[in-house]
Amino acid sequence: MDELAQLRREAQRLGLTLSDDDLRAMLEPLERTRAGLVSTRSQATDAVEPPYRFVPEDDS
Amino acid sequence: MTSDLAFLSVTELADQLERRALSPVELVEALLVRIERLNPKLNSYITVCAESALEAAREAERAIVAGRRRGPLHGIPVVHKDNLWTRGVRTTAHSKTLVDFVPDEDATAVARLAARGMILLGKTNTTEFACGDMDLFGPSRNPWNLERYSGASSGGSANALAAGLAVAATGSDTGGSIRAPASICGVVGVKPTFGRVSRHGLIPLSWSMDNVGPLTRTVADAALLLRAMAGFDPHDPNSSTEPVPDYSAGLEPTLDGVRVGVSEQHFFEGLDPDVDRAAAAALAQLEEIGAELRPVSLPSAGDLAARANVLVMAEAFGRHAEGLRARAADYGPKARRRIAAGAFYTAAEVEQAAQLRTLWNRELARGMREVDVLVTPTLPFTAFTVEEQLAGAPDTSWATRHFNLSGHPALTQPCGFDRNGLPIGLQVAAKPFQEATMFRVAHAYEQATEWHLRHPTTLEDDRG
Repeated sequence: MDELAQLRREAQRLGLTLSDDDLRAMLEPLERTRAGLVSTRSQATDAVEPPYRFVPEDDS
Repeated sequence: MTSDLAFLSVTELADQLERRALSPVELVEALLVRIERLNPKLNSYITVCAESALEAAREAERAIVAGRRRGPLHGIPVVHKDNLWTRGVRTTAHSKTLVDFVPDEDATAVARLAARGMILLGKTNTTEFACGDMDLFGPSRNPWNLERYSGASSGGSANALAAGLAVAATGSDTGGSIRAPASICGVVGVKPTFGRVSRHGLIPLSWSMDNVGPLTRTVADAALLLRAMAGFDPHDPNSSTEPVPDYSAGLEPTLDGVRVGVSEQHFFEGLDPDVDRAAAAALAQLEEIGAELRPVSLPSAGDLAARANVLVMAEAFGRHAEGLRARAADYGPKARRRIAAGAFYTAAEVEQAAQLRTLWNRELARGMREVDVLVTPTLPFTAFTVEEQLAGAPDTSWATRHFNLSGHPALTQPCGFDRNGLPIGLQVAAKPFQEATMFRVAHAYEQATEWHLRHPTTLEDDRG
Protein backbone atom coordinates (compact mmCIF):
# COMPACT_ATOMS: atom_id res chain seq x y z
CA MET A 1 0.00 0.00 0.00
CA ASP A 2 3.07 2.28 0.20
CA GLU A 3 2.83 2.97 -3.51
CA LEU A 4 -0.84 3.88 -3.20
CA ALA A 5 -0.14 6.28 -0.33
CA GLN A 6 2.70 7.83 -2.27
CA LEU A 7 0.49 8.28 -5.34
CA ARG A 8 -2.25 9.78 -3.16
CA ARG A 9 0.18 12.33 -1.69
CA GLU A 10 1.49 13.21 -5.13
CA ALA A 11 -2.04 13.66 -6.50
CA GLN A 12 -2.85 16.00 -3.61
CA ARG A 13 0.32 17.99 -4.22
CA LEU A 14 -0.68 18.40 -7.88
CA GLY A 15 -4.19 19.48 -6.95
CA LEU A 16 -5.80 16.44 -8.61
CA THR A 17 -8.98 15.04 -7.13
CA LEU A 18 -8.53 11.33 -7.76
CA SER A 19 -10.26 8.59 -5.81
CA ASP A 20 -8.45 5.59 -4.40
CA ASP A 21 -10.19 3.54 -7.12
CA ASP A 22 -8.62 5.83 -9.70
CA LEU A 23 -5.20 5.58 -8.08
CA ARG A 24 -5.38 1.79 -7.72
CA ALA A 25 -6.33 1.48 -11.39
CA MET A 26 -3.36 3.67 -12.35
CA LEU A 27 -0.73 1.84 -10.28
CA GLU A 28 -0.26 -1.23 -12.48
CA PRO A 29 -0.01 0.62 -15.83
CA LEU A 30 2.41 3.13 -14.29
CA GLU A 31 4.64 0.38 -12.93
CA ARG A 32 4.47 -1.59 -16.19
CA THR A 33 5.42 1.46 -18.21
CA ARG A 34 8.28 2.35 -15.86
CA ALA A 35 9.58 -1.22 -16.03
CA GLY A 36 9.39 -1.03 -19.82
CA LEU A 37 11.46 2.15 -19.84
CA VAL A 38 14.07 0.66 -17.53
CA SER A 39 14.37 -2.52 -19.61
CA THR A 40 14.88 -0.59 -22.84
CA ARG A 41 17.45 1.76 -21.31
CA SER A 42 19.98 -1.00 -21.89
CA GLN A 43 20.27 0.63 -25.30
CA ALA A 44 22.40 3.30 -23.59
CA THR A 45 20.63 6.59 -24.02
CA ASP A 46 23.11 8.77 -22.13
CA ALA A 47 24.63 10.32 -25.24
CA VAL A 48 21.40 10.65 -27.16
CA GLU A 49 20.03 14.12 -27.79
CA PRO A 50 16.24 14.12 -28.04
CA PRO A 51 15.11 15.85 -31.22
CA TYR A 52 14.18 19.49 -30.92
CA ARG A 53 12.53 19.42 -34.32
CA PHE A 54 9.81 16.88 -34.91
CA VAL A 55 9.01 17.14 -38.58
CA PRO A 56 10.95 14.15 -39.89
CA GLU A 57 13.35 14.22 -42.80
CA ASP A 58 13.93 11.68 -45.52
CA ASP A 59 17.62 10.80 -45.11
CA SER A 60 17.79 8.18 -47.86
CA MET B 1 -30.80 2.24 -55.08
CA THR B 2 -29.61 4.16 -52.03
CA SER B 3 -27.24 1.39 -50.96
CA ASP B 4 -25.73 1.35 -54.47
CA LEU B 5 -24.94 5.04 -54.17
CA ALA B 6 -23.72 4.72 -50.61
CA PHE B 7 -21.03 2.19 -51.55
CA LEU B 8 -19.66 4.03 -54.59
CA SER B 9 -16.18 5.49 -54.24
CA VAL B 10 -15.61 9.24 -54.14
CA THR B 11 -13.95 8.96 -57.56
CA GLU B 12 -17.02 7.22 -59.02
CA LEU B 13 -19.40 9.70 -57.40
CA ALA B 14 -17.33 12.63 -58.66
CA ASP B 15 -17.59 11.23 -62.18
CA GLN B 16 -21.38 10.95 -61.88
CA LEU B 17 -21.67 14.46 -60.45
CA GLU B 18 -19.53 15.89 -63.23
CA ARG B 19 -21.70 14.19 -65.88
CA ARG B 20 -24.80 15.32 -63.97
CA ALA B 21 -25.93 11.71 -63.81
CA LEU B 22 -26.33 12.34 -60.08
CA SER B 23 -27.07 15.43 -58.05
CA PRO B 24 -25.45 16.21 -54.67
CA VAL B 25 -28.98 16.43 -53.23
CA GLU B 26 -29.78 12.83 -54.29
CA LEU B 27 -26.51 11.67 -52.78
CA VAL B 28 -27.03 13.45 -49.45
CA GLU B 29 -30.63 12.23 -49.27
CA ALA B 30 -29.56 8.65 -49.93
CA LEU B 31 -27.00 8.79 -47.13
CA LEU B 32 -29.45 10.41 -44.71
CA VAL B 33 -31.94 7.58 -45.33
CA ARG B 34 -29.29 5.01 -44.44
CA ILE B 35 -28.12 7.02 -41.42
CA GLU B 36 -31.64 7.23 -40.07
CA ARG B 37 -32.11 3.49 -40.52
CA LEU B 38 -28.75 2.17 -39.41
CA ASN B 39 -27.16 4.71 -37.08
CA PRO B 40 -29.22 3.50 -34.09
CA LYS B 41 -27.51 0.10 -34.52
CA LEU B 42 -24.02 1.32 -35.39
CA ASN B 43 -23.74 4.57 -33.41
CA SER B 44 -21.45 6.06 -36.04
CA TYR B 45 -22.59 9.64 -35.48
CA ILE B 46 -22.68 11.94 -32.50
CA THR B 47 -24.24 14.71 -34.60
CA VAL B 48 -25.96 14.46 -38.00
CA CYS B 49 -26.15 17.74 -39.93
CA ALA B 50 -29.17 16.81 -42.04
CA GLU B 51 -30.65 20.24 -42.75
CA SER B 52 -27.40 22.09 -43.36
CA ALA B 53 -26.10 19.21 -45.51
CA LEU B 54 -29.20 19.32 -47.70
CA GLU B 55 -28.89 23.09 -48.03
CA ALA B 56 -25.20 22.79 -48.95
CA ALA B 57 -26.08 20.05 -51.44
CA ARG B 58 -28.65 22.30 -53.11
CA GLU B 59 -26.04 25.06 -53.32
CA ALA B 60 -23.49 22.66 -54.81
CA GLU B 61 -26.05 21.49 -57.33
CA ARG B 62 -26.72 25.07 -58.42
CA ALA B 63 -22.99 25.74 -58.75
CA ILE B 64 -22.35 22.59 -60.78
CA VAL B 65 -25.28 23.29 -63.10
CA ALA B 66 -24.00 26.87 -63.54
CA GLY B 67 -20.57 25.54 -64.58
CA ARG B 68 -18.85 26.57 -61.35
CA ARG B 69 -17.70 23.09 -60.28
CA ARG B 70 -14.67 23.42 -58.01
CA GLY B 71 -13.19 19.98 -58.73
CA PRO B 72 -13.74 16.30 -57.94
CA LEU B 73 -14.67 16.85 -54.28
CA HIS B 74 -17.39 19.44 -54.99
CA GLY B 75 -20.75 18.14 -53.85
CA ILE B 76 -19.30 15.08 -52.09
CA PRO B 77 -20.40 14.64 -48.44
CA VAL B 78 -17.71 14.24 -45.78
CA VAL B 79 -17.90 13.36 -42.09
CA HIS B 80 -15.45 14.57 -39.48
CA LYS B 81 -14.35 12.91 -36.28
CA ASP B 82 -15.92 14.77 -33.38
CA ASN B 83 -12.59 16.06 -32.10
CA LEU B 84 -12.11 18.39 -35.10
CA TRP B 85 -13.56 21.87 -34.85
CA THR B 86 -16.52 22.56 -37.10
CA ARG B 87 -17.80 26.12 -37.18
CA GLY B 88 -21.32 26.34 -35.78
CA VAL B 89 -21.54 22.58 -35.18
CA ARG B 90 -20.86 21.20 -31.71
CA THR B 91 -17.57 19.39 -31.25
CA THR B 92 -17.59 17.20 -28.17
CA ALA B 93 -14.55 14.89 -28.33
CA HIS B 94 -17.10 12.55 -26.67
CA SER B 95 -16.54 14.41 -23.39
CA LYS B 96 -19.02 15.72 -20.87
CA THR B 97 -16.72 18.73 -20.48
CA LEU B 98 -17.30 19.73 -24.13
CA VAL B 99 -20.86 18.57 -24.66
CA ASP B 100 -22.03 22.11 -25.47
CA PHE B 101 -18.87 23.34 -27.20
CA VAL B 102 -19.66 24.97 -30.55
CA PRO B 103 -16.48 26.24 -32.27
CA ASP B 104 -16.62 29.54 -34.12
CA GLU B 105 -13.97 28.32 -36.55
CA ASP B 106 -13.29 25.22 -38.65
CA ALA B 107 -10.17 23.13 -38.10
CA THR B 108 -7.78 23.80 -40.97
CA ALA B 109 -8.29 20.32 -42.46
CA VAL B 110 -12.07 20.78 -42.26
CA ALA B 111 -11.85 24.23 -43.86
CA ARG B 112 -9.67 22.96 -46.70
CA LEU B 113 -12.13 20.19 -47.60
CA ALA B 114 -15.01 22.68 -47.38
CA ALA B 115 -13.13 25.02 -49.71
CA ARG B 116 -13.09 22.19 -52.29
CA GLY B 117 -16.86 22.03 -52.03
CA MET B 118 -17.24 19.05 -49.69
CA ILE B 119 -20.48 18.94 -47.69
CA LEU B 120 -20.41 18.41 -43.92
CA LEU B 121 -22.76 15.47 -43.27
CA GLY B 122 -22.03 14.94 -39.58
CA LYS B 123 -19.63 14.43 -36.68
CA THR B 124 -18.54 10.88 -35.97
CA ASN B 125 -18.21 8.99 -32.74
CA THR B 126 -14.87 8.79 -30.99
CA THR B 127 -13.51 7.78 -27.63
CA GLU B 128 -13.35 10.50 -24.96
CA PHE B 129 -10.47 12.79 -25.90
CA ALA B 130 -9.28 10.00 -28.22
CA CYS B 131 -8.03 7.94 -25.28
CA GLY B 132 -10.99 7.05 -23.03
CA ASP B 133 -14.19 5.09 -23.38
CA MET B 134 -17.45 5.92 -25.17
CA ASP B 135 -19.55 6.38 -22.02
CA LEU B 136 -21.52 9.48 -22.91
CA PHE B 137 -22.92 8.61 -26.36
CA GLY B 138 -22.30 4.85 -26.31
CA PRO B 139 -19.87 2.71 -28.34
CA SER B 140 -19.67 2.65 -32.13
CA ARG B 141 -20.24 -0.91 -33.32
CA ASN B 142 -18.66 -2.94 -36.08
CA PRO B 143 -20.87 -3.35 -39.16
CA TRP B 144 -19.34 -6.76 -39.90
CA ASN B 145 -20.61 -8.04 -36.55
CA LEU B 146 -22.61 -5.78 -34.28
CA GLU B 147 -21.33 -7.53 -31.15
CA ARG B 148 -17.86 -6.34 -32.08
CA TYR B 149 -16.23 -2.98 -31.53
CA SER B 150 -15.40 -0.58 -34.34
CA GLY B 151 -11.96 0.18 -32.90
CA ALA B 152 -10.61 3.32 -31.27
CA SER B 153 -10.61 6.20 -31.58
CA SER B 154 -11.79 7.12 -35.12
CA GLY B 155 -14.27 4.23 -34.94
CA GLY B 156 -17.29 6.29 -35.95
CA SER B 157 -15.61 7.42 -39.17
CA ALA B 158 -14.44 3.88 -39.95
CA ASN B 159 -17.73 2.11 -39.26
CA ALA B 160 -19.75 4.78 -41.12
CA LEU B 161 -17.66 4.15 -44.25
CA ALA B 162 -17.82 0.37 -43.95
CA ALA B 163 -21.60 0.44 -43.51
CA GLY B 164 -22.30 2.92 -46.29
CA LEU B 165 -23.33 5.73 -43.93
CA ALA B 166 -20.59 7.96 -45.33
CA VAL B 167 -18.44 8.10 -48.46
CA ALA B 168 -15.45 10.06 -47.09
CA ALA B 169 -14.23 10.79 -43.57
CA THR B 170 -11.51 12.28 -41.44
CA GLY B 171 -9.92 11.07 -38.23
CA SER B 172 -6.98 11.65 -35.94
CA ASP B 173 -4.14 9.25 -35.18
CA THR B 174 -1.86 9.47 -32.13
CA GLY B 175 -0.85 5.81 -31.84
CA GLY B 176 -2.95 4.22 -34.57
CA SER B 177 -6.37 5.80 -34.02
CA ILE B 178 -7.06 6.10 -37.74
CA ARG B 179 -5.38 2.87 -38.82
CA ALA B 180 -6.69 0.48 -36.14
CA PRO B 181 -10.41 1.19 -36.64
CA ALA B 182 -9.94 1.35 -40.41
CA SER B 183 -8.30 -2.09 -40.28
CA ILE B 184 -10.96 -3.49 -37.96
CA CYS B 185 -13.80 -2.15 -40.14
CA GLY B 186 -12.19 -3.02 -43.50
CA VAL B 187 -11.56 0.43 -44.97
CA VAL B 188 -8.57 2.60 -45.90
CA GLY B 189 -7.09 4.93 -43.25
CA VAL B 190 -4.12 7.26 -43.63
CA LYS B 191 -1.76 8.72 -41.04
CA PRO B 192 0.24 11.28 -43.03
CA THR B 193 3.79 12.39 -42.31
CA PHE B 194 3.94 14.50 -39.12
CA GLY B 195 3.59 18.09 -40.29
CA ARG B 196 1.84 17.19 -43.56
CA VAL B 197 -1.69 18.06 -42.40
CA SER B 198 -2.32 20.92 -39.98
CA ARG B 199 -3.60 19.99 -36.52
CA HIS B 200 -5.02 23.48 -35.95
CA GLY B 201 -8.52 22.89 -34.61
CA LEU B 202 -7.85 19.31 -33.53
CA ILE B 203 -8.66 18.87 -29.84
CA PRO B 204 -5.21 17.66 -28.88
CA LEU B 205 -4.02 14.55 -27.10
CA SER B 206 -0.27 14.60 -27.75
CA TRP B 207 1.30 17.50 -29.66
CA SER B 208 4.27 15.46 -30.92
CA MET B 209 2.27 12.43 -32.10
CA ASP B 210 -1.18 13.70 -33.14
CA ASN B 211 -1.96 13.57 -36.86
CA VAL B 212 -5.08 14.35 -38.90
CA GLY B 213 -5.81 12.19 -41.94
CA PRO B 214 -8.48 10.78 -44.26
CA LEU B 215 -10.47 7.53 -44.12
CA THR B 216 -12.06 6.25 -47.32
CA ARG B 217 -13.04 2.99 -49.04
CA THR B 218 -10.36 3.13 -51.75
CA VAL B 219 -6.73 4.19 -51.92
CA ALA B 220 -7.43 6.58 -54.82
CA ASP B 221 -10.05 8.35 -52.70
CA ALA B 222 -7.59 8.69 -49.82
CA ALA B 223 -5.00 10.19 -52.20
CA LEU B 224 -7.58 12.71 -53.40
CA LEU B 225 -8.61 13.75 -49.89
CA LEU B 226 -5.09 13.96 -48.50
CA ARG B 227 -4.02 16.28 -51.30
CA ALA B 228 -6.89 18.60 -50.41
CA MET B 229 -6.17 18.49 -46.66
CA ALA B 230 -2.38 18.82 -46.77
CA GLY B 231 -0.12 21.84 -46.91
CA PHE B 232 1.50 24.51 -44.79
CA ASP B 233 -0.61 26.22 -42.15
CA PRO B 234 0.89 29.05 -40.07
CA HIS B 235 -1.56 28.19 -37.27
CA ASP B 236 0.21 24.86 -36.62
CA PRO B 237 3.82 25.43 -35.49
CA ASN B 238 4.76 21.93 -36.70
CA SER B 239 3.24 22.36 -40.14
CA SER B 240 5.62 21.61 -43.00
CA THR B 241 6.35 23.84 -45.99
CA GLU B 242 7.14 20.76 -48.12
CA PRO B 243 5.16 21.07 -51.41
CA VAL B 244 2.09 18.84 -51.75
CA PRO B 245 2.28 16.67 -54.88
CA ASP B 246 -0.66 15.30 -56.86
CA TYR B 247 -0.85 11.89 -55.19
CA SER B 248 -3.37 10.64 -57.75
CA ALA B 249 -0.94 11.12 -60.62
CA GLY B 250 1.39 8.29 -59.56
CA LEU B 251 -1.20 5.54 -59.10
CA GLU B 252 -0.29 2.59 -61.31
CA PRO B 253 -1.34 -1.07 -61.40
CA THR B 254 2.21 -2.46 -61.21
CA LEU B 255 5.15 -2.10 -58.84
CA ASP B 256 8.13 -2.76 -61.06
CA GLY B 257 11.27 -1.51 -59.33
CA VAL B 258 9.57 -0.86 -55.98
CA ARG B 259 11.42 -2.26 -52.95
CA VAL B 260 9.14 -3.49 -50.18
CA GLY B 261 10.71 -3.96 -46.75
CA VAL B 262 9.59 -6.87 -44.56
CA SER B 263 10.68 -6.62 -40.94
CA GLU B 264 12.56 -9.59 -39.49
CA GLN B 265 11.32 -8.69 -36.01
CA HIS B 266 8.02 -8.13 -34.21
CA PHE B 267 5.53 -7.35 -36.99
CA PHE B 268 5.02 -10.91 -38.21
CA GLU B 269 5.31 -12.58 -34.78
CA GLY B 270 2.42 -13.81 -32.63
CA LEU B 271 -0.24 -13.15 -35.25
CA ASP B 272 -3.70 -14.68 -35.26
CA PRO B 273 -3.36 -17.55 -37.79
CA ASP B 274 -5.83 -15.93 -40.20
CA VAL B 275 -3.95 -12.62 -40.04
CA ASP B 276 -0.71 -14.54 -40.60
CA ARG B 277 -2.12 -16.21 -43.72
CA ALA B 278 -3.55 -12.94 -45.07
CA ALA B 279 -0.28 -11.06 -44.50
CA ALA B 280 1.75 -13.80 -46.22
CA ALA B 281 -0.67 -13.81 -49.15
CA ALA B 282 -0.44 -10.02 -49.40
CA LEU B 283 3.35 -10.14 -49.59
CA ALA B 284 3.12 -12.80 -52.31
CA GLN B 285 0.63 -10.61 -54.19
CA LEU B 286 2.95 -7.59 -53.98
CA GLU B 287 5.74 -9.72 -55.44
CA GLU B 288 3.38 -10.94 -58.14
CA ILE B 289 2.73 -7.37 -59.33
CA GLY B 290 6.40 -6.51 -59.52
CA ALA B 291 7.61 -5.51 -56.06
CA GLU B 292 10.92 -6.76 -54.73
CA LEU B 293 10.67 -7.98 -51.13
CA ARG B 294 13.67 -7.20 -48.94
CA PRO B 295 14.29 -8.13 -45.28
CA VAL B 296 14.63 -5.22 -42.87
CA SER B 297 16.10 -5.40 -39.39
CA LEU B 298 14.24 -3.49 -36.67
CA PRO B 299 15.41 -5.10 -33.42
CA SER B 300 13.61 -2.76 -31.03
CA ALA B 301 10.27 -2.74 -32.90
CA GLY B 302 8.63 -4.74 -30.10
CA ASP B 303 9.86 -2.45 -27.31
CA LEU B 304 8.17 0.84 -28.08
CA ALA B 305 5.06 0.81 -25.87
CA ALA B 306 6.66 2.31 -22.76
CA ARG B 307 8.39 5.22 -24.47
CA ALA B 308 5.28 6.05 -26.50
CA ASN B 309 2.97 5.85 -23.47
CA VAL B 310 5.15 8.10 -21.33
CA LEU B 311 5.37 10.77 -24.03
CA VAL B 312 1.71 10.67 -25.06
CA MET B 313 0.38 10.76 -21.51
CA ALA B 314 2.85 13.40 -20.27
CA GLU B 315 1.86 15.60 -23.20
CA ALA B 316 -1.84 14.83 -22.67
CA PHE B 317 -1.61 15.77 -19.00
CA GLY B 318 0.06 19.03 -19.98
CA ARG B 319 -3.03 19.88 -22.04
CA HIS B 320 -5.56 18.62 -19.50
CA ALA B 321 -3.97 19.66 -16.19
CA GLU B 322 -6.31 22.58 -15.61
CA GLY B 323 -9.36 20.66 -16.82
CA LEU B 324 -8.58 17.73 -14.55
CA ARG B 325 -8.02 20.00 -11.55
CA ALA B 326 -11.30 21.80 -12.14
CA ARG B 327 -13.58 19.03 -13.43
CA ALA B 328 -12.01 15.61 -12.77
CA ALA B 329 -15.43 14.08 -12.08
CA ASP B 330 -16.65 15.14 -15.54
CA TYR B 331 -14.02 12.99 -17.21
CA GLY B 332 -14.94 9.33 -17.73
CA PRO B 333 -12.90 6.92 -15.57
CA LYS B 334 -10.69 5.66 -18.40
CA ALA B 335 -9.80 9.09 -19.82
CA ARG B 336 -9.31 10.54 -16.33
CA ARG B 337 -6.99 7.74 -15.25
CA ARG B 338 -5.00 7.56 -18.47
CA ILE B 339 -4.46 11.30 -18.74
CA ALA B 340 -3.80 11.83 -15.02
CA ALA B 341 -1.16 9.08 -15.15
CA GLY B 342 0.91 11.49 -17.22
CA ALA B 343 1.32 13.65 -14.12
CA PHE B 344 3.22 10.93 -12.28
CA TYR B 345 6.11 10.38 -14.66
CA THR B 346 9.25 12.16 -13.53
CA ALA B 347 11.10 14.68 -15.67
CA ALA B 348 13.89 12.10 -16.01
CA GLU B 349 11.47 9.46 -17.29
CA VAL B 350 10.02 11.82 -19.89
CA GLU B 351 13.53 12.78 -21.02
CA GLN B 352 14.54 9.11 -21.25
CA ALA B 353 11.44 8.34 -23.29
CA ALA B 354 12.37 11.15 -25.69
CA GLN B 355 15.90 9.75 -25.98
CA LEU B 356 14.53 6.27 -26.65
CA ARG B 357 12.28 7.76 -29.30
CA THR B 358 15.35 9.18 -31.02
CA LEU B 359 17.03 5.76 -30.98
CA TRP B 360 13.95 4.17 -32.60
CA ASN B 361 13.75 6.90 -35.20
CA ARG B 362 17.39 6.32 -36.15
CA GLU B 363 16.84 2.55 -36.27
CA LEU B 364 13.81 2.95 -38.54
CA ALA B 365 15.61 5.41 -40.85
CA ARG B 366 18.52 2.93 -41.14
CA GLY B 367 16.15 0.02 -41.71
CA MET B 368 14.30 1.81 -44.49
CA ARG B 369 17.39 3.11 -46.27
CA GLU B 370 17.39 0.30 -48.86
CA VAL B 371 13.63 0.03 -49.31
CA ASP B 372 10.82 2.30 -50.53
CA VAL B 373 8.11 1.14 -48.15
CA LEU B 374 7.67 -1.14 -45.17
CA VAL B 375 4.70 -3.54 -45.18
CA THR B 376 3.24 -5.06 -41.99
CA PRO B 377 -0.07 -6.36 -40.71
CA THR B 378 -1.93 -3.39 -39.17
CA LEU B 379 -3.06 -5.43 -36.16
CA PRO B 380 -2.20 -8.96 -35.01
CA PHE B 381 -5.92 -9.73 -34.49
CA THR B 382 -9.33 -8.85 -35.91
CA ALA B 383 -12.24 -7.04 -34.26
CA PHE B 384 -12.80 -7.79 -30.57
CA THR B 385 -16.13 -7.46 -28.78
CA VAL B 386 -17.56 -4.30 -27.25
CA GLU B 387 -17.47 -6.07 -23.89
CA GLU B 388 -13.75 -6.83 -24.31
CA GLN B 389 -13.17 -3.16 -25.12
CA LEU B 390 -14.90 -2.07 -21.93
CA ALA B 391 -12.99 -4.61 -19.86
CA GLY B 392 -9.62 -3.50 -21.26
CA ALA B 393 -8.88 -3.60 -24.98
CA PRO B 394 -5.90 -5.44 -26.45
CA ASP B 395 -2.97 -3.34 -27.69
CA THR B 396 -4.32 -1.68 -30.85
CA SER B 397 -1.09 0.30 -31.33
CA TRP B 398 0.92 -2.91 -31.67
CA ALA B 399 2.13 -2.13 -35.20
CA THR B 400 1.21 1.53 -35.54
CA ARG B 401 2.78 3.60 -32.73
CA HIS B 402 6.09 3.05 -34.51
CA PHE B 403 5.22 5.66 -37.11
CA ASN B 404 3.73 8.14 -34.65
CA LEU B 405 7.02 8.10 -32.78
CA SER B 406 9.01 8.59 -35.99
CA GLY B 407 6.58 10.77 -37.95
CA HIS B 408 6.61 8.51 -41.02
CA PRO B 409 3.44 8.24 -43.14
CA ALA B 410 1.51 4.96 -42.98
CA LEU B 411 -1.85 3.68 -44.18
CA THR B 412 -3.96 0.61 -43.70
CA GLN B 413 -6.02 -1.11 -46.38
CA PRO B 414 -8.10 -4.31 -46.44
CA CYS B 415 -6.13 -7.49 -47.20
CA GLY B 416 -8.52 -10.31 -46.29
CA PHE B 417 -11.05 -11.68 -43.83
CA ASP B 418 -10.75 -14.10 -40.95
CA ARG B 419 -12.75 -17.30 -40.45
CA ASN B 420 -15.55 -15.25 -38.85
CA GLY B 421 -15.80 -12.86 -41.77
CA LEU B 422 -14.03 -10.00 -40.00
CA PRO B 423 -11.68 -7.71 -41.97
CA ILE B 424 -7.88 -7.88 -41.81
CA GLY B 425 -5.69 -4.84 -42.52
CA LEU B 426 -2.34 -4.40 -44.25
CA GLN B 427 -0.15 -1.46 -43.25
CA VAL B 428 2.07 0.31 -45.79
CA ALA B 429 4.56 2.82 -44.34
CA ALA B 430 6.81 5.07 -46.40
CA LYS B 431 9.65 7.49 -45.79
CA PRO B 432 8.81 11.02 -44.57
CA PHE B 433 6.81 12.98 -47.16
CA GLN B 434 6.82 10.01 -49.54
CA GLU B 435 3.05 9.54 -49.38
CA ALA B 436 3.03 9.23 -53.18
CA THR B 437 5.06 6.01 -52.96
CA MET B 438 2.85 4.72 -50.14
CA PHE B 439 -0.28 5.35 -52.24
CA ARG B 440 1.32 3.79 -55.32
CA VAL B 441 2.03 0.52 -53.50
CA ALA B 442 -1.37 0.42 -51.79
CA HIS B 443 -3.26 1.25 -54.99
CA ALA B 444 -1.45 -1.42 -57.02
CA TYR B 445 -2.23 -4.00 -54.33
CA GLU B 446 -5.87 -2.88 -54.21
CA GLN B 447 -6.19 -3.16 -58.01
CA ALA B 448 -4.88 -6.73 -57.85
CA THR B 449 -7.37 -7.79 -55.16
CA GLU B 450 -11.07 -7.44 -54.40
CA TRP B 451 -11.11 -7.11 -50.62
CA HIS B 452 -12.15 -3.45 -50.79
CA LEU B 453 -15.27 -4.35 -52.80
CA ARG B 454 -16.86 -6.43 -50.04
CA HIS B 455 -19.48 -4.86 -47.81
CA PRO B 456 -20.95 -6.09 -44.51
CA THR B 457 -23.58 -8.76 -45.01
CA THR B 458 -25.04 -8.47 -41.52
CA LEU B 459 -26.69 -5.25 -42.72
CA GLU B 460 -28.18 -6.82 -45.87
CA ASP B 461 -31.69 -6.87 -44.44
CA ASP B 462 -31.46 -3.19 -43.75
CA ARG B 463 -30.47 -2.00 -47.18
CA GLY B 464 -32.66 0.82 -48.28
